[in-house]
Amino acid sequence: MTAITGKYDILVVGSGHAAVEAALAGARLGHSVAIVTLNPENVAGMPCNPAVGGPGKAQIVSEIDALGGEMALATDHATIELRVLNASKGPAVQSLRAQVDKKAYAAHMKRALGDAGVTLLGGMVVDIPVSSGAVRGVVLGNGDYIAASRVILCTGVYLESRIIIGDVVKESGPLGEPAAKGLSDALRRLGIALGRFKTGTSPRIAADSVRWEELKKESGAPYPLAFSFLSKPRVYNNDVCYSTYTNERTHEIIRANLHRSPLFDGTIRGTGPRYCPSIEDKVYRFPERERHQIFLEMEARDSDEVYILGLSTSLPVDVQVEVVRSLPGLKEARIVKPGYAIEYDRILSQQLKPSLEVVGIEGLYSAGQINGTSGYEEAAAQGLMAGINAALSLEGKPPVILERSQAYIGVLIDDLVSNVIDEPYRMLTSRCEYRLMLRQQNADQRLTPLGREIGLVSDARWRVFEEKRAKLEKGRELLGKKTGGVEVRERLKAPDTRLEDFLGEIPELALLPEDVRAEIEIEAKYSGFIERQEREAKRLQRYAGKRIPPGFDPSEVPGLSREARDKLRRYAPATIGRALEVGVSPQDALILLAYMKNRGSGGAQGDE
Amino acid sequence: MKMKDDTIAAIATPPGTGGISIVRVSGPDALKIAGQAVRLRSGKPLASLKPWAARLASVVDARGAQVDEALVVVMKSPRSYTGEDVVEIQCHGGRLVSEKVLALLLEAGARPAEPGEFTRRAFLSGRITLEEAEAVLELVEAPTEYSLSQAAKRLRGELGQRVREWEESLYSALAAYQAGIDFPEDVDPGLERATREIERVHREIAALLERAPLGLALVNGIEVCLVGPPNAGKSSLFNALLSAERAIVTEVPGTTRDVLRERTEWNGLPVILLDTAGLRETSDIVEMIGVERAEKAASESEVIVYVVDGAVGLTGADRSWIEKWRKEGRRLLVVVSKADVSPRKAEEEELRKLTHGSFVLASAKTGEGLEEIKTKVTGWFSRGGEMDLLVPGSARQVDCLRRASSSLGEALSAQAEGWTEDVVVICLEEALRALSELTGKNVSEETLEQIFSRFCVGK
Repeated sequence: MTAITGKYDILVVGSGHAAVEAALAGARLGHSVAIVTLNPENVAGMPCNPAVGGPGKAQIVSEIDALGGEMALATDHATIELRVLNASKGPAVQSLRAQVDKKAYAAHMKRALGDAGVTLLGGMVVDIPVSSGAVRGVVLGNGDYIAASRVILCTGVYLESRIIIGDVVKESGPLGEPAAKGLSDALRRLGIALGRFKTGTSPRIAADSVRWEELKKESGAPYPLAFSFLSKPRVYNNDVCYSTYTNERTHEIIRANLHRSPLFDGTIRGTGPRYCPSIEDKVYRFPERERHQIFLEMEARDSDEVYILGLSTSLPVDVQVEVVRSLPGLKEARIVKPGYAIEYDRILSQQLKPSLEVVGIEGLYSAGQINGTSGYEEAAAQGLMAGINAALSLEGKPPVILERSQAYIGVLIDDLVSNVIDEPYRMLTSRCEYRLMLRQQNADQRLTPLGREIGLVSDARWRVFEEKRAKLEKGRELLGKKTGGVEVRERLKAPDTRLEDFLGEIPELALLPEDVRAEIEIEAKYSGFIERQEREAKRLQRYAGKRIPPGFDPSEVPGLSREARDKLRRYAPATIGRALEVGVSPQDALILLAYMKNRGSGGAQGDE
Repeated sequence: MKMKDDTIAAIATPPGTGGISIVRVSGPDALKIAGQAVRLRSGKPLASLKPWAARLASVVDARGAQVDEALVVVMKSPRSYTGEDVVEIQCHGGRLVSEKVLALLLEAGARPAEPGEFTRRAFLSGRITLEEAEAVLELVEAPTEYSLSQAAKRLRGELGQRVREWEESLYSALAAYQAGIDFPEDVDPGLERATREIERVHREIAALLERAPLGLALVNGIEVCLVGPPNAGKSSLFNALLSAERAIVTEVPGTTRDVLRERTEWNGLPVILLDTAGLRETSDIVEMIGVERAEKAASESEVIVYVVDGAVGLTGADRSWIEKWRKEGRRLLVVVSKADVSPRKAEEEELRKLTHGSFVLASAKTGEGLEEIKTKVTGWFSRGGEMDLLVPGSARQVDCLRRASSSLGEALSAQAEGWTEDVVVICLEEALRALSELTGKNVSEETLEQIFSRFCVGK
């Protein structure tokens, strides 16, 4: 039919954060990889706020780094301000957040792709040929056919996307990019069910139109920090973040124009995220709030554009101008790019395996916002795992599936494939039950050995890891020393005792690097709680891992509630643990366990 | 209904409860298996019996010899306790006979039931949830009117209602913490209010748990063991406290040799009263075994009633037994018997010191002190007059509440000791997970729901 115009091991559709990690992982594992994207100039862009990290997300970035991904390195390269969130709230939830120069970030990623030998192709994918249940490549809008036995879809918010600003609706991707047309239909032809989500962003204003002196300057951390375990920690001080508040006047303008908001007049049908409400939504839902905090973030070190965090909106442009100008310091602000809402198609993620391969289509993977997530970090993590698993499958190896008790990435993907996602999914620390075990700072100890086994961890990274591991072991040994007849390890369990208190008595401790000291201190201080989480993880593993036989018919089990039957039929969870996660009640799970045990005694069913 | 289960059998009555014991067979082959061991007097096959009608039958062994005479009741699926075909054989006499009947059923192809397996099958059979199953189980076995009303309350889910209220308060507290953690830049979580909520729920669960011994007593009955020197009048008291002539009473010391158990009811609470052989050194081998059993019964019961012979007064042996059990922290009541005839040789002053006031002067003959004994014993469980308050029933419910309470205690002390918020949150989540075993909610989803409905968060 069409001539083959290229052939690769792995083909990645899209060039955002998921695509970049997927392509890099595939290429670094020794496979030929191409990216097909609408605009090859637009790589790893940040159409929303120019920031990486935050609670839950920072942990993901460190995990990507520990496995040998690129995001943390790109962030450290492009950071213009860095702070620690939740510093006083404990090691489980402490998280870095970096404001980055988005141009520098994209440039770093583009360079990395080139270094890894990834081919960048321009074009719009309109079809995905499948034969004998396996993917064969992609067909572009111009008729070109590129062959590949592994295709990773990372289309972000571009599938049949439309942008909405007030009463203006147009088919478009973010920031003036075209929408991806036709691929949604191709996916439906393959039997893949799609849903529609909505998200949005804030207006950008011209930097020279802001009266900075009327705003509060937000400074970064005064001590050196870095995202990557390979980077040298640094202090940043670039005057790039300012804050202010909305006021009664702002809220009046919004209230007076609510009827012109597409959110309220029914134009927007897609489901938006609860954690990322538009300013009109906030004013409407929390009328008692007198003000909402707003941050102004420079989009690059010498940017002429400023991102307004907290002012996501799809109100008409004239209202946006009024709203922005009601804020302190912004009386004369010029909007360069208005805020907008965007609607897009996404794959219902329970159609994916935990490897991110689409159930029933061998070699087709999907990662990132197309799976219903939100955020650069969540996308990058999925891209990395899809890239790794596509590469491993080419080598005939089993996929890498991270456990919930092993990594935030494990929580993310497990939630995606086993739950109904009914709003764009953002990682939050509260989603992770083992957060005291899954700290940002121990991501390397948790995952770098696995990354090494996969083949993504370079010799240089491995050396750094091994050195730190040796120092950690040394440090743990030193904590066994006694002061005042009691081991330091025990004394640290008092909440107000600090490791620093013992540096005088055990001078070897002072020789250890600060990050190592912080780690062993946390391990000792929180050991009681950490051990409890570990026990709980093991306990759950015992029954959660129990297999539900494929093709199992819930109507055979007497006593199950109707909801449980519906859920079991709808999501066909593979294990009791997944059944619990799709919302089967513990009581029903017990009945299920008892039923399977009885079947087991008849020899019909064993567990793994 | 498809049931692929095999057929199980077990003795359904608690061990030692004299009179009649019930052996229960449940499963698809219940009729066939029971039919091999049971011959109806009418000569008809077991399957022809009308469901729920009791018929006289012989239990016979493999050679056809009669083992016992029994009443047989057939319950057909699904209208039975387990939802399966069930045959109940009510046999005479003690443990030995019922064990023999059970052995015959096992020979005929039944499998011994695991602990709780009848109950599990009951809720596997449909209709009822776990909490309801527990309540139903109690209804079936409920020994007194008061237990019945408690079981009925739970069936309507009043405990569930309380638990759901606590759950709601705790989710709102957890959401306050978690909103501050996940959205540090936009939220003032109001943690003081959250702490007050946690304290309140902790207090309320603790108050309910205070009554847990009562709840368990209502379900299982309180075991009260009469012990003391020979001829102290234990058996007379036993009969008087039961209002029945159950134990043989003679003037001969050492008459009671085995442990006697009887169910009764004191102040609305089910009681299992135990009479035992007198504690003394003996060369009689049968009596010696009796004494050993008396000690064992005392050590396993919930309440020890130590009977001092009022005619003799406190002996050295009395003192050392009383001191031993007091030291072990047992619920111990000392009764000085024969108050009608004795010149009260047992000095009250010494008794008061020895027992910390936990003693009663009683007479089986005049009835003096009997009500006081009952009130003192039940008082340990009912804590004085709160009998109509809600009490948690099954051991599982008590266990869930206890774990929730202890996690809440940890959350509060973690906060007071200055631990970081992540630890407080983890303790709160543990408490909610324990409660969710009673209500079946997903902790993470509920928290998010609360955060987004209560706090204005997000960029």
